[in-house]
Amino acid sequence: MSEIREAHLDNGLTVLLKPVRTAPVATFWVWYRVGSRNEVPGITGISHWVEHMMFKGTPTLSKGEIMHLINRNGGVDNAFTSSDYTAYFELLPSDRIDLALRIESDRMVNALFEPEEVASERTVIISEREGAENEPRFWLGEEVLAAAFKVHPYHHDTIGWKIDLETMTRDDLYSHYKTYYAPNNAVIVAAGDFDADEMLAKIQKAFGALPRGKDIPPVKSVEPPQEGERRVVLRRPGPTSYFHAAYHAPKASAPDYFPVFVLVGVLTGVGGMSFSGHGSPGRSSRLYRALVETGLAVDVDCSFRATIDPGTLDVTATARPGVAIEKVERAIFAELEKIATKRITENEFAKVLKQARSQFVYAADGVMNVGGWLGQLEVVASYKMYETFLDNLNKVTRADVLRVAQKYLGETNRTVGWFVPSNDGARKGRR
Amino acid sequence: MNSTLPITPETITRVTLANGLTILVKDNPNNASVTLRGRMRAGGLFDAPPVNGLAHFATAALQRGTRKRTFQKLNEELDRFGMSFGIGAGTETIGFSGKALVEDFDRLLNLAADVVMHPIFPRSETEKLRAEILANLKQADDDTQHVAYREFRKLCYPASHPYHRLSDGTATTVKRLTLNQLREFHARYFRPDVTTLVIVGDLRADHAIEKIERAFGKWRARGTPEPHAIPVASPLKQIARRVFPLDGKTQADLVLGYPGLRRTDPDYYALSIGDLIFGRLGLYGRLGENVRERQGLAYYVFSSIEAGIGAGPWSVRAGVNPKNLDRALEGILAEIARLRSAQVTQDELSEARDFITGSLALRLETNDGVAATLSDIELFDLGLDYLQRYPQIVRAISAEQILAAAQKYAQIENYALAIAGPVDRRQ
Repeated sequence: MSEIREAHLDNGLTVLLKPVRTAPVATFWVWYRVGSRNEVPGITGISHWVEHMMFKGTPTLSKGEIMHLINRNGGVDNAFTSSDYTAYFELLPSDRIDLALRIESDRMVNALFEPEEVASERTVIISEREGAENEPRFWLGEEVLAAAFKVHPYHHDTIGWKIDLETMTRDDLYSHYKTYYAPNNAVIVAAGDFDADEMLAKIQKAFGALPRGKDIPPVKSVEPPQEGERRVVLRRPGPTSYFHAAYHAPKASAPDYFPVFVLVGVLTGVGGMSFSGHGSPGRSSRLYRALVETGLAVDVDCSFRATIDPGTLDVTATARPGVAIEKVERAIFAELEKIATKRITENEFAKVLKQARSQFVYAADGVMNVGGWLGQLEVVASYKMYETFLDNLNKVTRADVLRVAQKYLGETNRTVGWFVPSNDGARKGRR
Repeated sequence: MNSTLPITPETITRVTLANGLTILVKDNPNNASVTLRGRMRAGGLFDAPPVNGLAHFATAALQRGTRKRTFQKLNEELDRFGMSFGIGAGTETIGFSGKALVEDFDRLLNLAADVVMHPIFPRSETEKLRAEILANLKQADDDTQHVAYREFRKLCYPASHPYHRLSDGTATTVKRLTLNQLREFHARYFRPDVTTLVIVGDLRADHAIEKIERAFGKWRARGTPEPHAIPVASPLKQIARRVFPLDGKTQADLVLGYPGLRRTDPDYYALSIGDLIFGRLGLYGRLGENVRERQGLAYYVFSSIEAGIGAGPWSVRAGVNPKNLDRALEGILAEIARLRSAQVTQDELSEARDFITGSLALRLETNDGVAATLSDIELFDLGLDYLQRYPQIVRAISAEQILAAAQKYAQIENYALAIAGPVDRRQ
């Protein structure tokens, strides 16, 4: 595979290019270093809402025109927001990729935020949140996050608190946009069927004249060490009980990232390596065998996202209807204790390495995934992590895995959440 | 870069083995992996109402133990080599798919053949699976989108029709299914002469075929296969509307629609382009423009045609706050009325055509995308030159044809509508 080309424009814009000339397709991404991590009470959810407003037009590309142009050129586009970033992408036939540069350079500085558009989008955003509220897991996740982080803004979910969605103003949104959307706070990633020199010249032409923005306000919050287990119990109508434990975990750029990655791989398998950090659990993994094969849970998962600041390692499970949640919790904690007591086996370690290697190959099929991986890693740590990922995994030792298990999986470092159904099913489930 | 289509009669090798198994291979040297995709013309359509869920349960049980592998051994093998494999039954087809590095392809193939040909339905593992299916059904009963769709299908198709039911069954039927019924289902419907195997990846076609022959060549079937057909569904004759209150929910999810058409129906392209303009293109087409953009009523509102072997539904799905339910429905029905009363504009039509033809390359960018397309081409007998003909087929569709198709399949006076969420039964 070709090398990754890195460039920096004078206005502070970072550019990463990866030619992949296997299909007549190219993808173009802009990653802004802003997400719910940059939000304070009163405007939670604002980064995500700004993302929606970026499709509402500029003086030269009216609302809807972006979409029509993408359609006309046989492309797809979308955007998403997380705690650490807001990302926009286009996937187009490679001879049409200039369109992406035109759209992205325009809305990096010229988005309009017309009041009537803000008003109609408010109810759309609230509807997005209300759709999530239909899921018991959403409520539990929000509750656990809020308890696990009392100081750091990882405290709130990316969608934001409902009251903030109801009350924040057009000016709040516009000012957030003006603060964080600038070349010096963005990373461009292009991957696909193009020549790197030509693409860089085009990017220089489209983005080079955009003015550098003011310095970005730093996130100063540091979550203090947790000094005892925290517990939350949620009682709402639902079909069964749900379990969620969050352990404070290392950030992506920390040396412990890779040993924890292996740890998670042993617990749950290295699932589909999409850049969300979440995959389907391997059925030979420890948690699947201890929870699902024994009939205690319908599903169990362990996830560990790559984040800018120290985030969490999350173990979640859905209790089989009729099984008491205490039993599910005991089985999970028993597995975590075991992995923090005794080294993982050579076989388990080899399995994780092989799974990661395969997943890397699978994820390189198609330029979208490549663009997504590079951008995410650059924002949370460095894109170089992509190239050295497997080497770094290979350097991990079984002793390292034991050490990080002891360091992070302790009782005092965890927040435990239970969703207990409050309707009839619940009473049945408790027996 | 070579911009020729990955699927043409020249680039695909298609052979049928002596036992009737059809194989399609596409060599792609650009990624060191192989995608395997199998499809059988069998599924929930063969389940009589009292055994609804049999195809689904029997197929899921195949991985729970085979002649050579216990469930645990099979899982260990998949994980040890970073491979994936899954098998499942829908209403019309049974599908399996797997992925492995090229170096492990033989292993994946042998595992797949073992699962498909030699399941043993071990009692204790199969009972565990039954409990998992029942647990999943219970969770689905609490999922507003799922409940709305499930109930929509009941309203849209008569009880005698296979589309009346979802293929995973109900708690009542799944509890009653016996191990013998599972075994019989496998023995009767799993046969090479209804199966297509698609391989896309970094290996030569002749080598791939040799390996497949070694793994699947001894698979035999007796007699002739059951006719793989879905009965016609008659148009709706009234408004069938049902509301399902669910506790603890914020949003109401709705599904509104009609019996649609078969994939091979001559109206397919007209209705499908009409549907794209109506409820999909960009951010959900006209529906999205009206209900989401203009009125801000819903985060999601879109339409889809499930044209398959039979006339699957054409439906609109949306999630709204209960207080906006009536306005959202008015908006949806107004757009249906508009699609039926006037031709789409030339602008809309040319945008839809440009999108469909232009985005073809995007769908064929990965091994998985090529495999899925090949599998459809085979199932619906479209021919290996299909993608070469496709742009002309799409360009030939006129606004008149779209209007005629919309008038034929959508109605304002007669439709099926199911709503699930924090709503009153009288709503």
